[in-house]
Amino acid sequence: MDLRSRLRTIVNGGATAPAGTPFDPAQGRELTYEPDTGRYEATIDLDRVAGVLGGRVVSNQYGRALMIDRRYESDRFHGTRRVGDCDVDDGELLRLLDPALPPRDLGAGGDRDGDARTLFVDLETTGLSGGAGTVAFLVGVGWFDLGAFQVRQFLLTSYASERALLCAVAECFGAAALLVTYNGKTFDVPVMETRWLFHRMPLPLESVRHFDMLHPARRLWRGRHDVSMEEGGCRLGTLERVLCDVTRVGDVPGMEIPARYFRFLRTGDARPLEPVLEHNRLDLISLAAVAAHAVDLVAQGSGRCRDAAEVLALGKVYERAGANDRALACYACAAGDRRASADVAGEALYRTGVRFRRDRRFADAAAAWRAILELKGRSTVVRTLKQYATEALAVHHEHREKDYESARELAMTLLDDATFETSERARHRVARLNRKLASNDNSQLFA
Amino acid sequence: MTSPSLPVLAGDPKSSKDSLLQQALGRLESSARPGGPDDADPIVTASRRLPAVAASYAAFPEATDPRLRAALSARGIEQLYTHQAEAFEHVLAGRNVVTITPTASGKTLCYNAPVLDAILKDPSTRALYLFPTKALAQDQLAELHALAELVMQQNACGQHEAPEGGAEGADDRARAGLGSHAQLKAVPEIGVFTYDGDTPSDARRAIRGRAHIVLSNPDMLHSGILPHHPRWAKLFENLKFVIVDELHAYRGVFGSHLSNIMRRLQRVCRHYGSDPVFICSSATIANPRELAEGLTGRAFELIERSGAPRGEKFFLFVNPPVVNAQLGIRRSYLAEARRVALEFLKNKLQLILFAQSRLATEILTTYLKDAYQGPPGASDVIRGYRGGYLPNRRREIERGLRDGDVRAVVSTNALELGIDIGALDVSVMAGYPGTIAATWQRAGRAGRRSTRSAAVLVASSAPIDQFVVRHPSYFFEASPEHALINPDNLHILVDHVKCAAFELPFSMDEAFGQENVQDVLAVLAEQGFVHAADGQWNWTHESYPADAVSLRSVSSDNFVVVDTTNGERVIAETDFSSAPATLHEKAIYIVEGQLFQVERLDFEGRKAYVRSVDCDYYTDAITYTKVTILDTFASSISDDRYPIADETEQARQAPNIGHRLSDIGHRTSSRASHGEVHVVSRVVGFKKIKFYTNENVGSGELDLPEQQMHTSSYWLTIPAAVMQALPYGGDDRRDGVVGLAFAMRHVAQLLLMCDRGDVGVSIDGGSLDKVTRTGGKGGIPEALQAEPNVFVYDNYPGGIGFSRPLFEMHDTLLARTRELIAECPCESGCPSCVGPEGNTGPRAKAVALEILERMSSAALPEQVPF
Repeated sequence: MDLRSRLRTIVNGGATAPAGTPFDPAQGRELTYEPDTGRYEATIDLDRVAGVLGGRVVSNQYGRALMIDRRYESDRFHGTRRVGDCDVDDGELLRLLDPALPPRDLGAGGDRDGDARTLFVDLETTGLSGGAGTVAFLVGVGWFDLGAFQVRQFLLTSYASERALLCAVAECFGAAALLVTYNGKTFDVPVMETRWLFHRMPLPLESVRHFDMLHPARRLWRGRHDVSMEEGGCRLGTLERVLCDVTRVGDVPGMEIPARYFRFLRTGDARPLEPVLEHNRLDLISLAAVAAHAVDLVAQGSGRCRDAAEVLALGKVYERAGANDRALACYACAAGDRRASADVAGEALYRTGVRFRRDRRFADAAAAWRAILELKGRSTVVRTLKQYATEALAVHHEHREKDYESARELAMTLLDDATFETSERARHRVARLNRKLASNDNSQLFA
Repeated sequence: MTSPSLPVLAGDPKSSKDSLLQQALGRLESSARPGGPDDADPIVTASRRLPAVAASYAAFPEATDPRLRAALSARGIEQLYTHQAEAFEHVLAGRNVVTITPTASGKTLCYNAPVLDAILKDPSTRALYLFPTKALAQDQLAELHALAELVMQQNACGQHEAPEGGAEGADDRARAGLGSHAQLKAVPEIGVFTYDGDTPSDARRAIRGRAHIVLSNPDMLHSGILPHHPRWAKLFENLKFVIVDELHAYRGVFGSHLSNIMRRLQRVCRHYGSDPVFICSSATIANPRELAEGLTGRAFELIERSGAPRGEKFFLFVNPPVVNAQLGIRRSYLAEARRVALEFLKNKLQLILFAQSRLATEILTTYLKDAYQGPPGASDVIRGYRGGYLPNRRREIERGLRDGDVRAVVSTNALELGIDIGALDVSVMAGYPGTIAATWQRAGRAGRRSTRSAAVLVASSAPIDQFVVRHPSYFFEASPEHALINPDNLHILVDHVKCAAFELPFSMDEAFGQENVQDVLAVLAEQGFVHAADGQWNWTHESYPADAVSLRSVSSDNFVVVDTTNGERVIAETDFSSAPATLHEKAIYIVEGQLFQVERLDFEGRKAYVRSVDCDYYTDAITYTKVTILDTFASSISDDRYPIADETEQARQAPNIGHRLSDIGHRTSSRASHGEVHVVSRVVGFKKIKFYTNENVGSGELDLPEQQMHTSSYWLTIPAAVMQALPYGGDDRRDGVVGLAFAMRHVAQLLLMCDRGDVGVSIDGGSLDKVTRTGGKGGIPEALQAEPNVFVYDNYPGGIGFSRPLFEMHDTLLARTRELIAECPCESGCPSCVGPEGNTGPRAKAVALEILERMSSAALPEQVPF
């Protein structure tokens, strides 16, 4: 066997060179670029690709890059949501969704942020693993301009022209006041940073604030049955459907995207990329729509929620951001909803109790504990909550109210508890209360 | 052989420990010979005294940063050993250097000194340290931290004095040994970090930015650092040094991988414009410079002579006495190792006992725990140690050894490398470690710079052990082994070309190793892994190729062992390839002498469920192997001068074990080949073997998935004429071929100077074990082919370069095999030649010899060791 045949055996796991597959060697060779032009430009005719995809070519110090612009007018609809209503105000409401987001700097920076815009960002990459070999071949950005959603996509037409693309993207990113992404903290931003570092270019993102919609989305909607059933949970594609009723027709599945790009590199035919570009644009609008929906929720409170579970989730988001009054209002609303399940009502009451206790409003907390004890329902969640409430109430009666009789009665009900640890605690409590009651009796005798 | 006598310890034993050591050695030396004092088969076959060696020192190089010198001085180091100074000078001059360093010779300073010196002079300097295991990196971290701390204190002193200037400050500096260096750059902090699979992800970013010195291992460099090199830009831009410690560990498959990782590392360095100096240290091997150059593709300076002092050491070879002369059976070497160990333990000497396998480790731990009468309640003074124990348990044992709480540790080669376990008194090896280098390395775990120590090698009945123990000069005078690597093994190469293409595009004229990488890339392009455009090959695949490559074994999979005796608890782990043999159902799995029986092996889930049991036997798996020839690279007929024997005449000869084969006069040629083969192996059954007596007390059959690999092999084809001419029946003929294969394997191992597990052996017809020679459940033994092949294959996918050398040594291989069998004193086969009669068959020895006689033609090489 000659070297190539032996290599084929190893690479193909025994099969001989494939024929007629998408990676037909003949095709590959035919389109192999003639080396040695010494120029830093794409193999593929950039202008022709621009023509096919409806883009334009921009030049910078590193060469030429392809940019595709699309505009979605404000009165157009994305599912049930008007495009004009997808705009996300970069203000306190966003910081309720992500308390770690620094406030917008309008002071010392002068006008730097003044007319800087909120940029929605989504990448299409050659792989999901990250690392030096994962390339962002399509960088999609979107922003609101006079109510319309303006999308700009940077397409990498050859690896050799990546610097030109990165330079153009850096210019665009660097001018933003805020990035909005979906899972961008874990994926999109590290991938872009790796690209700039790879080419040893400065990082434009170090000073740009970043709001990653994935985490608030999980907090708000992970529990929904129509979301959690979906594979992968809170995927953007799921949320756009359940929140905004968006249905995509002929959408290219995410897993097919890298292969389409690789084929473009080999054949130079840009037409199969058009659905990829469309997929990316829809992701950008959906990101804006979902973020806007979340902002609506925190702005309008429980009244905007579809059910008690969402109200409860919103309450937790408020509480995490320190908006305790709003949180308590949500908990009260969820607990008081007749259609709410016992689990949801129970958790709302539990959180109410804990919140009040932390605020040293002990009587209010006790009311929440009592409300838990009145819940109907026999699920594990409810049973656990009832145990907790009983114990909390026993503590309340013993230490706050000094009502040892009631405390002992409550502690007694914990004795036949299933778990050893809690029943052990209850035993100690009952014993202690017995002593206290005895000494009380004695002191009364002496009085 | 003249009877060796134990040399008297030089001078008066200074400490009681010395006299205790002398006592124990004396008792061993006077071990009774079974046949009286004139028995030709002594128990102690060699007893050598290796004299103490005094230190030789050299001054620090002129250019040494005064802060480093002061820091070392604070540790009591006023001058360097000669090898340290030499290494330092080479590195200062920008030359790559490899140092041969015995245990405890201060090898770490060979690289720590020049690295810290460079960081002090230029704080942007970065260094990457590679250790073969995570544990070794952790071990080094503490030491390096302490030294860096000291250096920084000096740095702080220098800072305080600098602004004062004036004569007084200068005087102070001079007194502190700081010399009169002008402006010293301040180093705010010297960052030293380990970076491995255990590093928490939130710490990683900080390490990438702040570490001057990154301690890691090849696996992490391969899958965690190189593929993410842009995030490590600061390291790679400023990488001045790459340290490869324990260089000798990178041989065979692991070395071949490392060599490719080094190629990738240097590509990335070129991308960032750096050109690091390599500093390597190695145990004693025959070709350290060649290995370093093979691993890195750079030219190296070699420093062979250590300037470190060494304490006096005694080295004994012990051969267990023959207990059954007829069958050539010796007393179990494990029992003998136990006896030797107890002699030392009795005298309160701390010892390490090396065993050859995980199983032997556990058996010996059990034996010692049973036998050693320590103080009541102190059962933990004997510990087992091997890979597969969880890290916490291993750390605890290492600590116990350093503190002296653990009096004896029974270990596999896991403790052969430089894990810090302090200075022990005695090293006992149960079985020859397989190579001279490994033997010295293990012996070196006892004794440090000034103390007396002893090493004892207890031979097993394996042919190679018997050879070494009966020819001590082979060990004491021969050069150690060559470490062989084959970085251009196509399997390994293709994997790393993928990784390299992921990391950086290949240019159209770039080279990568000896094979034409452009061909590799073209084939990868056919499968869509890369695409050529704009004068370069770009990675065009979704995968992360480093994940698919395991540097140490065939697959990166492993099995965990779950103890279900009391709830569920993971007690050990084992690599994929050894799982079928050690974790099959009903297997006895031993952890530190505690016995567990495997109740269920969940092959898909990679879990074995075990339960604690109390029994008096252990299990030994039986493996069936089948080799198929894929491609013959070369074939040679060693001699065709002789006509094929007259078959009818041969057939008439009576089967006579003792007859003189040279009388026959008719010989025929043998054919040797090497090439590519496909190896399928399957664990088909197991034997139950009683502790202590080693009786076979039962067996069982198993049905486990087979494991496959492509590798390279040498094979001997026995001509049909030779087979047909044998005056024996079919079963005897097959037994003869099996016996021949058994003996050839051991001779091949010696000729190749390779490790035990590096080669595998097989014949057409599968298993070499009589119990399951059928290759399956109760089947009929496969018939031998008319021209049977004996395969000696590289036991790694793709091969690691043993087959061609073996092919070239074919004549020597056969000649020495014949000598081994002919000179063995047993009557009809024993573990030291063709295998025990019970396993190989009653006539195996005679038939094997006759086959060899009929094939051998060329004159014997002048010097035959058997």
